[in-house]
Amino acid sequence: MKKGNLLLVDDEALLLKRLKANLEDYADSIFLASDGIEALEVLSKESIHCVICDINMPRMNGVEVIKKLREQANNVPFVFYTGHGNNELMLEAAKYGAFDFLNKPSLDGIEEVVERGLKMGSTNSIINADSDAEIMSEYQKLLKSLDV
Amino acid sequence: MTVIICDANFSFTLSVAKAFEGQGISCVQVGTGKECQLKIFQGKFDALIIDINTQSHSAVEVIKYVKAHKLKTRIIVTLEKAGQLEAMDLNVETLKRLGVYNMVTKPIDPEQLVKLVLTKIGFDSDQTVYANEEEIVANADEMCLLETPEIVIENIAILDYYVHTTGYIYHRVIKRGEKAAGQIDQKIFYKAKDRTLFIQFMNKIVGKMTPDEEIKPEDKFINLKSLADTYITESYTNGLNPKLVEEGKKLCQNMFALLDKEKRLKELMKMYQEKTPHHFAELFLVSFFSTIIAKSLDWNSQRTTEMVALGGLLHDIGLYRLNPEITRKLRADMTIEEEEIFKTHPLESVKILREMTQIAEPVAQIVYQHHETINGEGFPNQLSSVRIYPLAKIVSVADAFTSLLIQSQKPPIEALKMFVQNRQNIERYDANLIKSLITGFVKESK
Repeated sequence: MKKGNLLLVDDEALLLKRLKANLEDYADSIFLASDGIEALEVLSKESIHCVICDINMPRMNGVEVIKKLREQANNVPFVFYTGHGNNELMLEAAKYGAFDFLNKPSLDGIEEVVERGLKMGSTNSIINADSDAEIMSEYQKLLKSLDV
Repeated sequence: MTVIICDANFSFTLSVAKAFEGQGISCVQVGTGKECQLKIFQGKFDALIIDINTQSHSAVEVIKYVKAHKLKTRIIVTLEKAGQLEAMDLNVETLKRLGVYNMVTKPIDPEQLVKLVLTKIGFDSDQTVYANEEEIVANADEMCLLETPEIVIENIAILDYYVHTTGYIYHRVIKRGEKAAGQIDQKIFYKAKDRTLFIQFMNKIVGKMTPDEEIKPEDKFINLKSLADTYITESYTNGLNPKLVEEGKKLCQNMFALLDKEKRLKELMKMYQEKTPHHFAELFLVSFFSTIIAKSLDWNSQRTTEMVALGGLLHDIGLYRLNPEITRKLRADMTIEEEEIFKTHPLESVKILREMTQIAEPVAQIVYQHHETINGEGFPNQLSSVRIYPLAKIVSVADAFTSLLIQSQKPPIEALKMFVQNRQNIERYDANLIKSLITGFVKESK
């Protein structure tokens, strides 16, 4: 089963290398970018299903990247990670639909977040919204179990 | 030793005088402030007991006289009823500054008054000399009621535990490091300043209870709830600190473990009967239902479940920085300006959480976005469905359901049906999350 393609964005080359090595088993392909401008180039050329992005980078920060993508109607799951002191940027990032957040340097839970993000990104292209009637019907079926 | 008592009620002063004379202490009785001040001017007294309602030179005038002349007279004020000070525009701090040593509310046993004078028990326990270590003087807000006393009785005490005897006096019944000698029929209290230590203790106890098959699910739930309420009270009144944040995480781990073990939610909530719980109890339920929803999702993990549990506990912490006259109102009763202020509480909450570096970013984002709704009509940023942080959507559903549960005062299952059948909730909340909430209540199939 296809896992999906992952994009890692960070201006620290060593960190990118480490992350790529740790996450190899979780994605079909892993692309790297050292700042926001490179990230947008990769996203315009490749099919990316999840982005893991440092929030504070030179040239173009993570918020500017996600903002650009959302303007292009690209809802790829975006995971931000940051050390402390970027509080304003994190709140700003939240406005553009961040999928999840991780804390540097531990990046606890990154594997689970990547799995979830890739799964969401791979199925995200087609979302069929059920009608209200269909939703209510499903609720009723579930509620019936409570009466047993 | 000589004591003077000033009170217009002569039968009271007579009974107190007799109690002192029984201890070999002479006691002068007067009825007005003027008489009292004159007697103090004429002679030396070791203690003055004065009724706050004293007339013809008020009690405050007499107290100021004693202070101004630097007399070594210990002053005890008596009140007719609680709240009397506030009605007279006074408070405990003002009286302390004037040199009042202690305060009692009638009715009071004259023997207790004698004890207060003899044992020199005052407001500030750090400076007093106790005749015996078993009694302390505390305001009601300095003491916490123990909601699950059975736990305390069964284990070696990690704190001193007290029963309330009269006025501001609490009597220690279990000493730290010891076990209760037997049943205690009265309500048990501990000092509010020991609350964090108590939370630490309860986290360990609840952690041990969860895998124990002998303990009923509803008893486990009650103890978890009591722990969460205590945690929330401490966080919301005294603020977060690193130790408390860590205990919060353990609490959420305990919540996760309990729901992992006991999947029959209806069994767990059998004992839930609160009709009008205070706001802190609501916060526990938001956390609890958030955990239920998260655990029912196919993408559930322990990490995400604990994040939503902690986000649920802390989601309204910023509300307490706002004017309580606004936050006490229902939203429907707020003016436009008041509602604008109310809508700032998610950002206020985040500012508080940012002071604690141990709070992970997901928890801060949950708190920030828990009032966003998928139709874009939420706040603070009117985000629509795809833009809202997925974990925040979980707490959003739990918060809305908890509000309905509390306001409707229906049993949980009936409230759930009402919530689900409200078509407005389809527009506001993610349908998959509502299904997960229902799934949490459905009996586990065999």
